[in-house]
Amino acid sequence: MQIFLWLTPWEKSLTFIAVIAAAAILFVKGCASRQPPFRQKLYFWIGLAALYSVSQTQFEYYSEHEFFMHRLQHVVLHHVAPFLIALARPGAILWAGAPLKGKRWIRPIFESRPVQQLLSIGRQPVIAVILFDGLIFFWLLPSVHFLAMIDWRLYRLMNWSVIITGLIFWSLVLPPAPEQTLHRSAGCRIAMMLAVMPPQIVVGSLIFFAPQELYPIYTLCGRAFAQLDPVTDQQIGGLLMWIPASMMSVIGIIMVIRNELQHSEHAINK
Amino acid sequence: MSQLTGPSKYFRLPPYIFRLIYATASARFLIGIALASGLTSCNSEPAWHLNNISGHLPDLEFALISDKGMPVTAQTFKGRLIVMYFGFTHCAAECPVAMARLSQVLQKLGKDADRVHILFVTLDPGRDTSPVLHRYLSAFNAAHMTGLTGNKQAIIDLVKRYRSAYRPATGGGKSNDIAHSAAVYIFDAQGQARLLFSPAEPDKNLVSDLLRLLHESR
Repeated sequence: MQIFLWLTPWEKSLTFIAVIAAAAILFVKGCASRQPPFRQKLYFWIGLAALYSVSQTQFEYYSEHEFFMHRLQHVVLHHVAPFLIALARPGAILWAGAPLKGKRWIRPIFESRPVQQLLSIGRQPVIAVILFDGLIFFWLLPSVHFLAMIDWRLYRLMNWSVIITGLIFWSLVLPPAPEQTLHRSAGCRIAMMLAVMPPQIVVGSLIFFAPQELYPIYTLCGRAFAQLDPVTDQQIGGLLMWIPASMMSVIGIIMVIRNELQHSEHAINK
Repeated sequence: MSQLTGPSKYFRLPPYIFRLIYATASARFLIGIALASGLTSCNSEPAWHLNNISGHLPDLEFALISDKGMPVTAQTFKGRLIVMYFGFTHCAAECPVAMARLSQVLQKLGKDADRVHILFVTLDPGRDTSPVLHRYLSAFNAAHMTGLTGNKQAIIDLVKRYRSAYRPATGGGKSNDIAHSAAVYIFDAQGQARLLFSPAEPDKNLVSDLLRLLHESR
């Protein structure tokens, strides 16, 4: 009974549930015809479940009312879940699972000039890096953060924007699926992951070392953990940005290097 | 020499550069709009002392029981500025202090206080019945205050509507601990959310902003 209560959404978003459900159904259908390896399926499902569990459960109550829980939510929405989903390379499987009618609708939209141009802009390394880091910093500007936490529409926009930029970034930099080729070289992708680290470390440490409360909205609207004092809450939040967020880049870099080494070994053995 | 005949060939840049320029131009365009809208809003009116939340929180809406035992809704209080606070009568420190401060603010408003009404919404409807609330408020400026109690779900919905925290505090184990917000929500005579007062701010900010709101709706 207690678990059931925890799983009920704090703020139900039908759009979010619909998107997650659609992705899940397409993936199941796609898996039936494409038979991807177990590992690929595992990454996808963990990533999708992580997105859902920090957004559509009671977890959200805490992330609305405690700064470090908010940061934790964003580590999942921006880093961990998109990382895992991008690692699963689900594009081809989702496409295989789409009904024929839907494909007929989507293909012309996807292949239209504006969409293709937008995609090619988003795929530029510099722009992808700026978007990935810039959005976090934008939402953390104290005045912007205040409004995002008080206005549910801005709050939703914030969470969607970090999920989408996360998905774009990680799908650009992580090792490609065997049959797939990426536009960017391994060196470029490693450079991108290195580039997003220092700004996050700087902002995380700025928040960590701030002597006063930067985000009074949490005190104002009440803290989920009333015993924790505001500056400690803020420090944990800063640390979460500083360390786990940068760790994801390190893991990504190691994966790219490993993938490259395997490929060169493969080439030598041939 | 053929490659030097046309300037377009001579000055050809990779398409990547154009995309980059286009992207920065559009980004600057957006920033320009944001700045312009920010400037115009600054020019048209001076900033408020309190946090301005106009347009960011929904209009006042509830159906609860007053401390006189009557069913009331947001409509009951229309035409007056509403100052809303979430608390409970067993609250040891913050709530009585906040209510005492709000009473003082009303005094400072003088005659204008008649056009302001304070709503004290209990977070402990189990214990805070109408008579309990009535007795509690009589210690303050009861003429300009209404205590609100009622169905627990209706109260949870109201608290959530204004994105305020509300959970029985974890740890401690004392039943009279409820995690709650310190915010004071201010609605204009039409029931629109306008300002958010933090107890960290001095009373005079609240007084001057309330007077300004009253002046605006006159």
